[in-house]
Amino acid sequence: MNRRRSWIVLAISALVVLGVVGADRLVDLPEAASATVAPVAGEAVSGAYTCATGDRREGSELDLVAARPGDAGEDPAAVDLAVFGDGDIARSPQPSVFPGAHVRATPSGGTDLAAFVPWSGGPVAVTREWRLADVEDTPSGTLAGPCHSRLSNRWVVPGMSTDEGNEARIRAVNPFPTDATIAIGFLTPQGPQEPLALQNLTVPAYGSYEVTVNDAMPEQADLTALVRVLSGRAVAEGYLLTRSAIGGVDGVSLLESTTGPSETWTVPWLSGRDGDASWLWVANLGQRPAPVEITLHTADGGAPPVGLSDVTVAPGQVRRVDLRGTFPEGVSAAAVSVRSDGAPVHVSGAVRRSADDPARTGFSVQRGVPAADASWVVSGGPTAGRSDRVEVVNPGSDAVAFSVVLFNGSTVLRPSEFADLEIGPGQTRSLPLRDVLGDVPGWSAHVVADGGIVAGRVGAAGEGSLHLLAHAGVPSAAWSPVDAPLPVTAEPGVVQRLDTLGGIREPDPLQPPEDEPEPAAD
Amino acid sequence: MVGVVLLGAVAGAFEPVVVPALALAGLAVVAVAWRTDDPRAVDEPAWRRALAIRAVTVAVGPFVLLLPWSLELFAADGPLRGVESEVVVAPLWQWLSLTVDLAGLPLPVGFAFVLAGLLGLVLGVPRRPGLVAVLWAVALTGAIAAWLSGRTGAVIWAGLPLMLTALAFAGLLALAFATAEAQLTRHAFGWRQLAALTTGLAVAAGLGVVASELARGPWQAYAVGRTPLPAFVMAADAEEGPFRVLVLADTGDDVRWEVVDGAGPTMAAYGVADADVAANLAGPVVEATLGGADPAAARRLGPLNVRYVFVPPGGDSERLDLLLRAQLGIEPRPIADGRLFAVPNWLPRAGVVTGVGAEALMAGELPVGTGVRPLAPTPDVGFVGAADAGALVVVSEQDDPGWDATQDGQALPWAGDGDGPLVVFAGRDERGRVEVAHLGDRARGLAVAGQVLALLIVVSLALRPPRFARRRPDGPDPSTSPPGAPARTPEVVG
Repeated sequence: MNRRRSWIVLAISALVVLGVVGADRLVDLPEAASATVAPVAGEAVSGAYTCATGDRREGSELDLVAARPGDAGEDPAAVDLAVFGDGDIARSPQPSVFPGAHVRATPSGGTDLAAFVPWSGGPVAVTREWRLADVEDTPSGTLAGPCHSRLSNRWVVPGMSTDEGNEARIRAVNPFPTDATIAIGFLTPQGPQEPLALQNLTVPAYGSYEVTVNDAMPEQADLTALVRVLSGRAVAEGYLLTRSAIGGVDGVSLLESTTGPSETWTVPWLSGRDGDASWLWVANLGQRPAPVEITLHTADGGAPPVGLSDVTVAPGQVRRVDLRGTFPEGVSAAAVSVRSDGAPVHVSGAVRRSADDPARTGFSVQRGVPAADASWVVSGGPTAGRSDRVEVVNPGSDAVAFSVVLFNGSTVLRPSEFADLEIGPGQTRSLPLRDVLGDVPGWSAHVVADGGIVAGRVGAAGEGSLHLLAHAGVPSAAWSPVDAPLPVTAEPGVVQRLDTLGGIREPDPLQPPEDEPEPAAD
Repeated sequence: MVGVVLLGAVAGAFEPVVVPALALAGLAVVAVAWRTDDPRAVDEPAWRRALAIRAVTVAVGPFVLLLPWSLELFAADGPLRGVESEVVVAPLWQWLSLTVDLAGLPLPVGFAFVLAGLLGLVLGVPRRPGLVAVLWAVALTGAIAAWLSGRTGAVIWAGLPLMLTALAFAGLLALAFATAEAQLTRHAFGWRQLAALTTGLAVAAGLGVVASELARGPWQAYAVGRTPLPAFVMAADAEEGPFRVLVLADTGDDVRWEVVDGAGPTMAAYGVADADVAANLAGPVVEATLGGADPAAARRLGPLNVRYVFVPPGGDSERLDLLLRAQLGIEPRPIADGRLFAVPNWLPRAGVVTGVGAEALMAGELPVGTGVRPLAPTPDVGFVGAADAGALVVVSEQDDPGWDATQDGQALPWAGDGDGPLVVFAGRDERGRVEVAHLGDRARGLAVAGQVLALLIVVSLALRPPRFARRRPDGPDPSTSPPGAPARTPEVVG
């Protein structure tokens, strides 16, 4: 081959190489096909609330209030009420609930009942109020709080007592057609315990299972219950009966459960007045010690508790943080926020009110709220003879403007004194409802803010039995989508490739599951 | 020739673009041959006629064999234009060097082929520059076609044109072997010989690595190590089926899903998309179920005849579990490996339902007191059974006008809106015998039967038994074969 031809070959080769290398620079890259992702919805389009505690035993009353948050002009919500127990479920559709309004239902039945409230068309917030007045062997009191909008295979009741006349009960309910199996363990100040008698308990389909904690864990001042759902699905929470014959205090309280730990918690109301004892239960189900930082929120802002040194909760333990004497001078009530950086915990707060007259005593346990929210619904039952108020806390560092819209069962109220309010960082605000609502059979308050706040309810009867109650409201997180949507891709043949190199990934046996430690066997 | 037709049909079934490519190739052969004069041919018109018949047979045969499927080849939603393959974005040099990340293409094979191409270039250019240029042009054409196909993700699998590149490199390797001796012996022993030896050894080593990898595996990729669905699910399908199973697998990036029969998937269905059920019916429900905003979404699986939702081991994840557990319409079932959820309100593939309206039924609601009675399947893809008075006749299939239902011989009116995922007919106000059939299925059955017959004929022609040799008279053979084609030799000699 002569030299000229060689140069031609080399030139052509160089041109080809340049073309091959540079082709991708000349042609724009296409967009790769992506998996289908459902649009992120701000609100869920359906859901269901489960109220495990509260029934219609003789001498008691149960109100369920389903309130529809939102503005006028939005679609009404369709709400069904399903009352179940003993393997049967009775459904009763409720009237459509328009934005700003609520529907109130009073289920009928016996002692082993629970309520399941599915909704669609628009979000609702469901709260139950269970009034025990003349029930045999049961102290008088009112038990109230939001129903559960989420399902979980782990329920934690952060605080309860079984000493000094306290009787704690845990009730697990199963609103589904398949039996569920649960196991109950406890955290104590000494560490975890799992009574063998409370393992592998069956919660029948459309049924419930109630455990008296005193039988398994008697005379315990501080307990955290951990209910694990081993199969099927179940919702668990508890309630506390306090008898004055032993401890000098009469009262009942809902023991709301949590589904997951958090590094921040806010309890909307704790009392520092004379005769009241307030404390926090902090449970650490993690593997590391939890350093807990506490802030008291008052009308003047946030401040650390007076004279309370740093608190650390060891792993696998529950600790009571007594707040008596820690309130600032002249402050009789405050909200409390808890932060445990790096070691998520579960928190609830308790107020025990003592008096010479046992009828004017009470006990209230509030589950903490893990995150502030911009929209809340607070609901309640009859207001006659009671003084209820909405407590608003701003645990954040910026001022927040908010308004409260009320519904009295027939009319949407926009009182001027509840409009265009502002709450500074760390401050609390108390909004009495008695003068605005009057005597109504049920009410709802829709609290809408331009930032993160926590709203709750505090109330008591003016005469006779105290019926003290305090609980947080229902945040918009309860009617928000469960999680971010997962991208999905149809892939015919994925099943044939199972267990092959071309199939889906295999789990790494050396990778430990990221889970909380299980309580050790008793 | 018949064998080529058969192979073309098989190839076209796997890669639809083969069918039009064969047709084009046949036309090209006819056109070229028609313009070619061959002085050796005795009877030129007869030879051309024979060539044209053979070319047209090879070109059209696969199309005919694949009827009526091949009629939809160029439809908007057909196998060519309607199916999108995976987008593979890789630079052109990776395609040309066969080192692109494509399933079934081991990396060493790329280096071996490129070295072979370079060897052919260096050794072949002085002696056969035209052939080298043609082979390299073919290699480049294949790589560019694969590059474009990979970027667009449409029409054909990107690996198919890459075969042209591989064949061209193989040709260059052969050319290098053919010209190496003459080219290298022109020069005294030195760097040329050493370079050629090194490159040749590298090619051999590369091919050896590929061969050893093929011998070593991955045989696991072709082995079914366990039953794809839980055994009791497949047993239940035999007793209470047929029903469908939605399989979900979280890959970490996204969730792959497929709807299979409860009897378990078959390799016969591998890669075949059930467009009606998968795309039109279950797709929106799966998206809503995993969207997180509609906990009641999975209820709509029931009317689609989906009885179980299965997450195989390795495909489960915390986020998938969270979303599935939040669904109110499915019930978790304890199994040893993976996750299994039952759909309590599942409907049979075809059945008679009482006590519920059509609208509620399509929303997946089965109120207390709803009665469901399955209809028995018939051999001609229909269903038959007894119906209660005022019942709805439902079929868990894509709603299209081809469905027809009669009760005691009288046509039943539609109760659905005709646009939904469920075929619903309103039964009469008296008991009777209901028959449901899809009118298109009978015609399709006839067409399939005809195709099976044609296939048998073609196969029998391709595999015709050996014949005894016959003595031919001396003298010139009045052959009508194309020039260059060898005279036919007897397959078996006595």
